[in-house]
Amino acid sequence: MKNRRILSTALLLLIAAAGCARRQSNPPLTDDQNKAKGTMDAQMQAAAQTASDYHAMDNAALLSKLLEQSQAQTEYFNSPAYRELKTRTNVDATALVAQVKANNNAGGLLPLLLLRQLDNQAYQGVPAEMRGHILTDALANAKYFNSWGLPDFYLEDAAHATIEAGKAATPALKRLLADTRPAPVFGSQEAMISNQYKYRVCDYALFFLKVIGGQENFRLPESPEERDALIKQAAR
Amino acid sequence: MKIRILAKLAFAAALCYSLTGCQPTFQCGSWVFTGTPTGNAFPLNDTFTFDPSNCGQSCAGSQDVMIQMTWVYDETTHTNLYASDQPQGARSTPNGWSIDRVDGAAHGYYGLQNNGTFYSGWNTPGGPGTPTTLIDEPGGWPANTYFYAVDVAVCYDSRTCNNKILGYYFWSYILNSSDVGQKFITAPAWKDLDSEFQAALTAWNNWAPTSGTEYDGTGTFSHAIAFPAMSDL
Repeated sequence: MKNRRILSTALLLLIAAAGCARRQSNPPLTDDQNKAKGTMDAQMQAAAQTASDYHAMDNAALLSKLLEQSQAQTEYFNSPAYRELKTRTNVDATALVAQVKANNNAGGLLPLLLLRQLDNQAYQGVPAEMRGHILTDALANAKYFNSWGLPDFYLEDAAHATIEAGKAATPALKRLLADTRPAPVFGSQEAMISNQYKYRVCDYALFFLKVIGGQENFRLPESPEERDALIKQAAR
Repeated sequence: MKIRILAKLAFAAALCYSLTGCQPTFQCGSWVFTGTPTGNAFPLNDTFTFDPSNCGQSCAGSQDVMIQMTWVYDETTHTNLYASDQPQGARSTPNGWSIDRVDGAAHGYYGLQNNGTFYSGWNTPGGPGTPTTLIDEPGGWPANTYFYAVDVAVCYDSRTCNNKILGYYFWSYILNSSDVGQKFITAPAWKDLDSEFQAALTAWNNWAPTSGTEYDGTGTFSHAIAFPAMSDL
């Protein structure tokens, strides 16, 4: 009987040790892992605090921040003010329209896109020429083109709005056919595609002109030479 | 007596597995990470070689591929950054992590195109003893950005061990105040990140049926495709 007890206890210890051997093969975090984890934890708290701070702001304060971020060329989806305002149902469309009219250039892009998102009727009330000017001025002055997306892959709100502006955007887009400045997109796979295609401002202009002109399924060729040939034709 | 012994064994096993840290390693193979930031980009290869015998498995004939989730932080504005509108909201976890796929991709697997093939410029599939490599080159992010990623090797479309997770790897880089990239930390991922990965899969799956049309140049789906349930091997 005693031997059986000893045996059972030994077995128990063996099983426990075997199980915990797996634990030992998962060693404590290294200094590097601890550093990364600590940095990320602090940053997650800070990001949550920022969202909370914006959530606590009233609409007037948020609209002021929105304009600030618009003038700094923040993408609409990366603007904390846009993110917060988008969720609200009590944003005064009149105030937003006034902000758009007072910032009738690239700096008015975020208020314009927010208006389109929140109150399409009020958005359509903004003259198409004004919408077209804000959108094409933003395109002409952008450093990164994430707010427009990647033609042939996906389009973002600024691209949809440009297409909706239609013929009102056409004269400015035709001028941009001469703009061969690089039009990069940041990201992960997005940046790789952007590097591969090497889109320029003129390529975006060509794409919008073709779609506005009725070629809804138009695809930009991958080769810049082929795109240049199409640009030449479109500029005539 | 036998019942008593069995009870003791069961108790020991339960106690052991319930203890914090007494966990499987989730690394059934080895990782090799290479890459050096250039300007504000970070061209890199992350390779996993599956060694099923390390985990007491065989998984003969299985194929493994990668899934990547990312978390990007702007130190200037203290907010998460995204490359596009899509990953925000329903597609992200409450902490802001999201499966890394370009808009238009219907599948969440990093290299899987809509036509059902893996694009070799993003991910070459592997198998037992054969490496799978994830290729990425994040770039263009503004100054003072922290870019974090977790790569997860999983069995895919395999006769055996299908949908099993084989390992997790963490990598990161920072854009300094002059927007110059610097490697930050690359290391096997730690415990919380596997839970975050499950949350990212859930977020993708919740979002997928509502995504709308996904077109990536190789094929079209009426909406994104949900992941199957996945668990550690």
